[in-house]
Amino acid sequence: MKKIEFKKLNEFIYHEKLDNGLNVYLYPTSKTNTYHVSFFTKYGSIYNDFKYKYELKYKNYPLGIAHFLEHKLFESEKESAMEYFSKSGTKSNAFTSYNVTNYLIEGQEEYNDNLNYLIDFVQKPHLTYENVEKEKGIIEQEIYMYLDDPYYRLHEVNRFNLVNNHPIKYDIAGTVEDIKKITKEMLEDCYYTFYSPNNMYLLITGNIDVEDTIKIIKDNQNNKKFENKEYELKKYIEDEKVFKEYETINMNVSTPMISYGIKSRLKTNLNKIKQSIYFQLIFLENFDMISDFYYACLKNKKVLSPFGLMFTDFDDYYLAYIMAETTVPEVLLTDIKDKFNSLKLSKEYFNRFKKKLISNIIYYFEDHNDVNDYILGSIIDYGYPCEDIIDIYNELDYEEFVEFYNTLQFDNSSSLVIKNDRQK
Amino acid sequence: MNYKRIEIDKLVLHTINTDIFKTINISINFRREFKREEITIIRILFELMLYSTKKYDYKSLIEKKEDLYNLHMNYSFGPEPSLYRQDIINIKFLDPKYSDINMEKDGIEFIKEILFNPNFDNEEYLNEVKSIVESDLLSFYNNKKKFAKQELLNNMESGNILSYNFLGYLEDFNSINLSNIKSLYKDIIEKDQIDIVVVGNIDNNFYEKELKGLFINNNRYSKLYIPNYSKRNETKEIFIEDKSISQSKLEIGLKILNYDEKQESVLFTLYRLILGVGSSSKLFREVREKNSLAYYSNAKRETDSIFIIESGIDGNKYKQVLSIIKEQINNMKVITDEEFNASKKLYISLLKNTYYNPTDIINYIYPNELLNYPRDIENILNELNIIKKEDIELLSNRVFIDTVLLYGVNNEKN
Repeated sequence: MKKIEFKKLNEFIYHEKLDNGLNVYLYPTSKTNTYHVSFFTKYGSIYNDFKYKYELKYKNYPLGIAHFLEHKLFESEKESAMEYFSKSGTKSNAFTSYNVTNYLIEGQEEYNDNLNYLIDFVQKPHLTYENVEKEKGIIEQEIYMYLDDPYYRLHEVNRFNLVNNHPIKYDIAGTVEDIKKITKEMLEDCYYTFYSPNNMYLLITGNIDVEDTIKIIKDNQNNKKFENKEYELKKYIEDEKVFKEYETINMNVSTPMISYGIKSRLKTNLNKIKQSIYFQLIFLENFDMISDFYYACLKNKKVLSPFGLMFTDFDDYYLAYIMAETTVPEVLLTDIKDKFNSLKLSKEYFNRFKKKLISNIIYYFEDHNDVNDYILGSIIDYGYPCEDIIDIYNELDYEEFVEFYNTLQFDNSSSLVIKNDRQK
Repeated sequence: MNYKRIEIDKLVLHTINTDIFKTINISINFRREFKREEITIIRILFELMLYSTKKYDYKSLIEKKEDLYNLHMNYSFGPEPSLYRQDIINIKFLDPKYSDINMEKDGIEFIKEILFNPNFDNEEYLNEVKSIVESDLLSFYNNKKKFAKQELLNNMESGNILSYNFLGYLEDFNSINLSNIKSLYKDIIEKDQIDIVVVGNIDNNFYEKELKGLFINNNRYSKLYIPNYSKRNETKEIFIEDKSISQSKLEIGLKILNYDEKQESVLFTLYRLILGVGSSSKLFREVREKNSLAYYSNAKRETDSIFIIESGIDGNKYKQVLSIIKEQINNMKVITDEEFNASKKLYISLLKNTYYNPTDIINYIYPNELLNYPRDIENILNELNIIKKEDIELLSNRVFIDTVLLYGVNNEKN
């Protein structure tokens, strides 16, 4: 295995790409008694249109299918995977995002058996007509649970209105109507395309032995045959303009809420990590709880508490959302819009932010679960574990930041108001 | 890991010396008698202490934390209802070896500034903090699950501590001013029981020296409020209609008759794990997996002798879900070896994990100080070895449903 050093952090991980294409990353540490295994595939909610390389036409699958598949893989012929892990006091879970589906376990006992079991159940789906139908009721309730959450809806609807064609527009779980269309055959198509070893990663952090672990994994994989299918994802042409500039929705909320979304197209060749930091920095300095703008809004009773800030990116687009609870939604939206005519970029804030980024990485490495999250995110977002992150942070440059800022436009926006019509 | 309990004047310093973390974690715990009328003002007082000091205004306080390598500081309050309320200031900063400043010295100076130099002279700051707390209170009503749970507790324990909204009350805001905040602050610093827990690679002498003489006239409280129910009530059924929500929230409040915290807390935890914690629990298997009626269905401890089953459901299937949940409560009288062993293993694994997370260590050390019968993890592990599944089955005979609440849409109630 190749030993990779996280520069200036005195931390190491090990990497090997197996013959079947599976990438294995290991982070051993004696500062815990547990192990955390993530077995993930580069497949999420935005992979709905694809074809094999030899095919001419793209196939389209219902929204929410990646999340549906995640639910179904936990079922095996004998018992559910969750029940198996719980016998040894091991926690198991899974999640689906836009671009990844991850199956994870955390435990202290039966490491060898649990690791083998995790790999096996993900690599051997048990899909039947009956169990696919049965799952629809559970997912339906999951979707309804989120529909009642105004904070979740604020972000979801605002993103929907910012994006035109790219599937990031839609909710990860899809709608109840979407999941009703999903069949066993569709799930199998997606599974055999995206769950082949060359599209997957095994990332283990915690109290583990590197040599023993790689042997367990190799022994497990050597007994199996896979067909690595080369797929092609559909490319979407995204308009720079937003889909809808304004919307109001009615919900049973105690105070009106707003989300002001910005859609910006990037036109630089900067390192992607730097781009992401610089983009977020603009919003943090101008709208975070330390900003003059927030403080003035609080003082004038235009907001009740700090703004919520969220970010999403896809292709060469970045989205930012500024969210708040307010009794004067329209006034606040106008103020936010006006603020983009006088954004502040101070060198002092920039330097403090750099310091904060570095300390956050040290905080991450305190807990092997956070290390697991960090490496997974880095691999999915940037294609590698970002072992040079401290160097990248040190290279952040104020002049470069200002130059980056000057390439951006902030005039593509979408405003959303959630209010309770019963409150007058 | 090396634990020490050091009494300095009437303050108790708990230190856990360990080199496995990259941070120093400090928890400052204040404890006083619980009064309904103090819930909101105490909350605003602590939020105000963390908002600014005489030396640092609102903005420079945030900058100072960032200069201290993003020192984390927050305020939290009592994790569970008890006769005594608990307010906590949590601080986390980098172990000195990871920074180029004297982190420990600067960190403790900063904490002293927060504790002993509060800014209670700025009316504007008070109004801003009131606004932030108000927003938090209003967002509570946006969370339909939390709202339904609070309504359940209001009905189960009307007038008792359990029915109080720990976030505060909007109707109290007008009477809160800088003058009554100042008096309450003085009272807290002088009279509250104060425990400080420090976890990290630390020098005990440094903290002993720094904390000496800071707090002097504190009371020491130890007795926890443990509700004890000696008779079974008839089950109440409550429906709150709200047609605007997509999913109905089912909340079921359960009590244990003649519960003995000292003897039965480990047993109760195992009971809950088997019934409704995690993916091998009876509720998860039957309500979710077998009948596809819910995404979540779990049993959460509210306080000793009271727990709540929560589930998000289609309100029109209320009777079916309730019947399945009742059946599972009844099935706790017969549990399998597999269920028993799995719950024990999960409990052991959670306990052993405590040593490797600074927050878990603090959450374990401090509440132990308040028990009349403190016990360490080893004691609990020993107790787990003695418990038999028959003990859980016996406990289940004393569990009863006190109140069932459905918030949302239901066409079956008649």
